[in-house]
Amino acid sequence: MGESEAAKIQRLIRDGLDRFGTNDVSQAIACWDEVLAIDPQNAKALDYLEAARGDGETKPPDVGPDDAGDEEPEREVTRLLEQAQKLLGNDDLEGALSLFHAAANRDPDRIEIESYIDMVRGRLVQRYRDRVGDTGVAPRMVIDPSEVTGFDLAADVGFMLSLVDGKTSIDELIALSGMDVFEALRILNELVAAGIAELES
Amino acid sequence: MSTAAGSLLTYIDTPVVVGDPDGRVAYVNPAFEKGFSVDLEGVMGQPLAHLFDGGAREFVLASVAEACELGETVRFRIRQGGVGFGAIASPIVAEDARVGVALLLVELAATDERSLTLCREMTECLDDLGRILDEMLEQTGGRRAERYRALVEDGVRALGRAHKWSGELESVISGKPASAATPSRFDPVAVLRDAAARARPEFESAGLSLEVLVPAQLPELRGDGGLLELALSHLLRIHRVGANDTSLVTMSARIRPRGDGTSVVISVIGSGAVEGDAPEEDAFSTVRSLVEEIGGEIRISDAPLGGRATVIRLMVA
Repeated sequence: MGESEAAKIQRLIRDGLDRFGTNDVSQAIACWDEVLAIDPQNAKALDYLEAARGDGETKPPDVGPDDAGDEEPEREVTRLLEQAQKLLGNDDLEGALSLFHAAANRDPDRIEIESYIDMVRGRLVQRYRDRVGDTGVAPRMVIDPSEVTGFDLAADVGFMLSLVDGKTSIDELIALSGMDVFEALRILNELVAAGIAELES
Repeated sequence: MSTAAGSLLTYIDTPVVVGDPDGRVAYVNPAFEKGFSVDLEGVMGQPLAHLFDGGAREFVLASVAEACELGETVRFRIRQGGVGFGAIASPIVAEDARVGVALLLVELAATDERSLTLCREMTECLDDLGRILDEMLEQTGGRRAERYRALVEDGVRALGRAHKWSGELESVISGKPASAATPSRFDPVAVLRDAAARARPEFESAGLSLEVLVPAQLPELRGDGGLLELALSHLLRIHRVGANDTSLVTMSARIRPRGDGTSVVISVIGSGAVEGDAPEEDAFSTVRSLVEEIGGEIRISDAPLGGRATVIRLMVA
């Protein structure tokens, strides 16, 4: 078994946001188009594509080298923040977080953006807690270890997966991983959503 | 010990000891022989520890070890035979790259000794005041006592500064470099956890949630951790006082790149008072001044989903 459809969609959505955040709009659109090829009604992909291809305000400006003035990074950050706010309005916290990160990387002097990131992280932690329920339960791997390579996992996700043994509880995994609660729960949710792990009842 | 160097040291009326890389006496000058009632023949090749008594012995050995290990001059102070000495231990690199040490002992004037004694007396008073203020802080919880609590906290802050300057003064009199006397770095994880632990009972009794998102480890930061803890305690209190029944307050810390260096960003987010609204205006200004005192950046703004967001950026040490 390779990467499941749901996991692939999740990865493409995230990759698209990362690329959109770095102003690689064409690649972002390609990622989300690929999502629609799998799931033509995927609401997130449709929403993101509308924003990326949308009106002049939300569409990233196509700036040639001669046009790249001092105002450009500021406009770019403004665009990302507006887009992130829009996603927040649609309750798309993961999408908003990705864009806030991109904005913070573009303009490290605006430290208030860091607080927006933490605000979204705080909300997401509550959501992740609701999804996992009892943090005393032990997640277990549901795929064969030989199939892991087919999932193209990020290093931190792979590390967390290496700790999942069906005996160690979520609370213990958080402590053992050394990650903050947000990162640990995000990754565990990702593993469950991708069909790699399940929460033992 | 070369004959030329030995003959030069013979004429100095300040006690000098030279130790070899094995920590044994290689030379003592006549001033040392006279002041410490020993003779060169008798102590040559003996461990340096044999030259000093009691606490002075421990201090000399620790300082010699530090000088040899760091390859830097170390200043310290000892009392031997009823006389106070300001001491300097300087490393000497031998031909085989092993490190020996030269010790120079300068007799302290009686006024310096008296000044140091006064410094220590002052420190004891400051410690007593600290305990009293901590007790008062515990007794002034709750909304009605908010104003008094802020006053007590201001007192704690002022006391922290008095402690700091008293330590600096003692260092100056002892001849230690000021920067070495006041290690200005701290573990932010411990500070955040302490601030959360102090605030949690009040959050729980108010039926509020406090989410702390901190990794197991973060790099040490520049500044005084006590001041940051006080600032965070203030912030948490502002959010608790202004919260409604369903409020969630999040306190988090993360590493972020900053210019050529690395910073740690600490946020406290939740509903609560708006800056500029009396009486919380004073509370926010206290937080600002605390953060600025430890060299941090602070920004208080509206959070996109409502409430207030305070973000603090401190540089990694």
